[in-house]
Amino acid sequence: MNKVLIVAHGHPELNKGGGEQAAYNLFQECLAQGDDAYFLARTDAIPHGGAAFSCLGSEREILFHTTHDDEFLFSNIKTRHLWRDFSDLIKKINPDVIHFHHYFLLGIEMFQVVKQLMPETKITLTLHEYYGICANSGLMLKAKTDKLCYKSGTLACSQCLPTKSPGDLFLRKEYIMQQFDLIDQFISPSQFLKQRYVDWGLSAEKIAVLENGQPEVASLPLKTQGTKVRLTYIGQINRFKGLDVLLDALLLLDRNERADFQLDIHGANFSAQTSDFQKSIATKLKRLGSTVCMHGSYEPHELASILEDTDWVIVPSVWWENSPMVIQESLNYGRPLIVSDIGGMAEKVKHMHNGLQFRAGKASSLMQTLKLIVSEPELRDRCASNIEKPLTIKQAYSQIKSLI
Amino acid sequence: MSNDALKENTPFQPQVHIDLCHFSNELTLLSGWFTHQSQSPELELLTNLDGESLNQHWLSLNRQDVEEVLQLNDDTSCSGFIWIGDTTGLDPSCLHIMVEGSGFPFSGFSPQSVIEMETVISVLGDVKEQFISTAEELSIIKSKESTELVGELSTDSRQVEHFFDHCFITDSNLVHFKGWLLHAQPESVFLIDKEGRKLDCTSSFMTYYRADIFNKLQMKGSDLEAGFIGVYRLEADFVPVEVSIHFADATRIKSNISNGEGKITKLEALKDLLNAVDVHASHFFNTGYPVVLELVNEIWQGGESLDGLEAEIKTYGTVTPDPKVSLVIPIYGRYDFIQHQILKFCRDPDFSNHEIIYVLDDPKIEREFNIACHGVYETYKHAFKTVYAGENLGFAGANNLGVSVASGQYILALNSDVLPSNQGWLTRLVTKFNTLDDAGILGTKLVYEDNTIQHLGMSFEHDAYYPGVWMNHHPNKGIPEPLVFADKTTAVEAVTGACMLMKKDFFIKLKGFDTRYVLGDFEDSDLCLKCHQHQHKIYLDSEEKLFHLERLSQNLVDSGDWKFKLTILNGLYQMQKWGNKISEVKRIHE
Repeated sequence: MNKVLIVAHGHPELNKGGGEQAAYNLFQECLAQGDDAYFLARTDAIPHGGAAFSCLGSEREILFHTTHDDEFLFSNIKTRHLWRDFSDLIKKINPDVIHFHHYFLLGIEMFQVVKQLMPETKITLTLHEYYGICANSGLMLKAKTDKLCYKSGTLACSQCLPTKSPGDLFLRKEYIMQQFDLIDQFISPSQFLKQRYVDWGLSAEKIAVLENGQPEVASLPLKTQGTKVRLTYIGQINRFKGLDVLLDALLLLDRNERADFQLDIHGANFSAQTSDFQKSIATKLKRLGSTVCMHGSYEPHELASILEDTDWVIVPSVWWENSPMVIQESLNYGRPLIVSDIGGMAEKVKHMHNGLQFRAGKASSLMQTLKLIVSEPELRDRCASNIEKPLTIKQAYSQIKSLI
Repeated sequence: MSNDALKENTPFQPQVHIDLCHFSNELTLLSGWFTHQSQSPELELLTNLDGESLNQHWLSLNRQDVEEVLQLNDDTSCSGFIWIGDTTGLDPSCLHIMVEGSGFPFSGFSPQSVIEMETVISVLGDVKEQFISTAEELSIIKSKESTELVGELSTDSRQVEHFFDHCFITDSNLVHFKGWLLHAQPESVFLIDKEGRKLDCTSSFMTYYRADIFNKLQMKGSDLEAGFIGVYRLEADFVPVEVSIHFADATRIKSNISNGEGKITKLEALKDLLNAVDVHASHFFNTGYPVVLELVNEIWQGGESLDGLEAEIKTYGTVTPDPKVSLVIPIYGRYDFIQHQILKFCRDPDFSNHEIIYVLDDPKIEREFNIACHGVYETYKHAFKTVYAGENLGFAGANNLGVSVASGQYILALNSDVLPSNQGWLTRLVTKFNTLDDAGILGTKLVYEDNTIQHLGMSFEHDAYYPGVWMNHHPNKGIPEPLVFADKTTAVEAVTGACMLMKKDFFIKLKGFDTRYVLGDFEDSDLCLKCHQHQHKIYLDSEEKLFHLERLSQNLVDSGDWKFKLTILNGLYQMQKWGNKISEVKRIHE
């Protein structure tokens, strides 16, 4: 029986995010395959009595009450959380392998603690975004303009982060690189993300491109197209996810054209956004009236019913993305997508194959795409028929095991 | 209508002008002129227009000059005047001047206000004493004041206009006083204790131009250096209570010394001093700088000697018992460099042979430093020592302290913002050191994070921005490393203190870094000059390469005018200390 520890930066029950869900799915799969598996998820909840750990649901699902003391380096050495508490925990679990799904908020020295204590234990790290490369929230967007960034560099990055000098950025990269030296196997859910890390300096040989894996579900049959094209937006709502681009595209249509569409938004964390952003979205929603319906956040088990009535799923992000969970989920249920033509989105959804692409951040381009799916309704079925079933969690786990 | 007719019909209106005024607590002195038609004109000051006459006295003077300028009629004359009155408790702006029956409010005049009474009455010449004597008889002034006015009696009771901005003991034992005075160059300065014992601190005192006083007192044309500043490090057995400044004419001014610690830091005292220094003054490079150097030294050298320093040594983990090299790394401001360096060192197997010593040189960060050191050790489990003297010793003092607790046969003085680029470099440097003839110090190639040269040896050069000073020039600085060809090992004039390898015994023989340099400017080149003096050579290795993020540590001390001045002073000290030795070293390396 394998002893496995999966570490994530949040528990999906408390933090709704693709990375957290992917890590949790892997944990469930490990259990299903009979592994002696534990899930360790970072939380900002108040622990009892200053303890570093608590449990959520079962004793195998452990919350880690910690945070890094240096956000720039993801460093967590000043408190005893890593070198004492985490160290004590892994001594007790004594895993053969630890699958890290992040180091953000946990502390990047976790790898050092593991390798120092149990050098034989294998470490994998699934890369979910560009945090190592980019100190601007791992987005690889220019801080002042939100323009796409193509490459990191000490001087260029210091211009994005005025309080940090090129020397600071050099130190950051050196520090993170040395921590990454301890990883036995990197897993990147997209080729695009892998290439960014290779360009940054990681060895291509150490990074496997492997999707997170999806639950085994049957594809949903496409419904007969009604009088309106049913569009669905699923996922977080923030200024990088491009919901405003989608709403602008609908607003660019004239009233009659707009009447051909119904947009359902199943989005999380809207209320946590800045008031300016909320206000801007609310204004657009008001102008769109009954064309758009906001449903709030959703639970994974609701996906099938959400997608059942959907013709197209739209992923209009204005940042690169990695491999958005919503794309994998849509493909898993057999729904074609309309996505921004950049990064992980363009990699997973091929234009005129299993979906459509439009120019990232350009509402007019998306508007033309919307007109296209009305004028050529057969595109939906054609794209849906080209969808290949994504990797299952079971298959993904088997491949991970074969890598280590 | 004829002029005569006009004259009869128009009453005469005198003109009054006040040139100078002097106010003290009790007395007012005025000088000026007025026009009149009366042969015996009267001048009187009232407390207000209908008010009482003051206790006053005035003297008329010939002002032919004004008469000519005004082109007065034959029946009108102009008289100068010097006026003195007792204005105790009065607001001078309420006074009224009565001339020929006409009243003029004092507030309508804009005389030049002067500090010294002597300035107003000096025009009286021979009759000055008579004027004062009459005022004395009229009880306008007291006899004591009269002596001040005539300026002839040499008693130490005479007043010198002055003000002490502050006068206290700070930084444990540093007497610090500053202010302004209106008198020619003071002759001597003493600290006096409760028993009246005097300590001559004249050499720790200087005067300087103070623009604020110059402007306020309208001292145009004067070259008086009104500002003064004094700093003196006290010996343990002398506690002064008073500062006394004496002048050549036997006058003196004094101030009590207030007790209490920490009024200003050593660094603030240094900045304060440097703000007073004009390095662009023509005499500065010839005669001006020695006294400034003396003062800088007084401020900075509280802890010159390591004797008596009770340094706290902490050991994290088990340090190699017989290390080959002791790395001595001062920490000032940014302690996070420790985390970066230890991670690099712990991944280099060669470092099991060496000892790492961090010298905390910044009391402000003691707590954070200790927390970080603990966390770094617990995370990386790589042993190191820390040393802390409880105070800021500066680059030289911190390195010397680190070496004093070093166990290695060699020492490597290393900056905290230097990071290795590969493994095994330190032992390779030691190996090279031992192959070199008469090696005193071995430095190595340092690059910035963008792989441009930060250091490839240093040479002494003149720089127009720092006239008269040998500056430490870094040849090839900023050039991409692949473009620079350098021999694997070269004898050079000097190497940077950011990374210096030498035998510990030799370092001790040279008495380490000279602590008289302030805030890290020339300590390294000075040590190199000592090395040359001892017939040893300085070498530069270019086979190894370390990153030096120079700007990160430099930014910890703010730049600005005072830092520029400090660089000049450090350079002048080096020149004063080494004289022709620098030229000699340059000739050898040409």
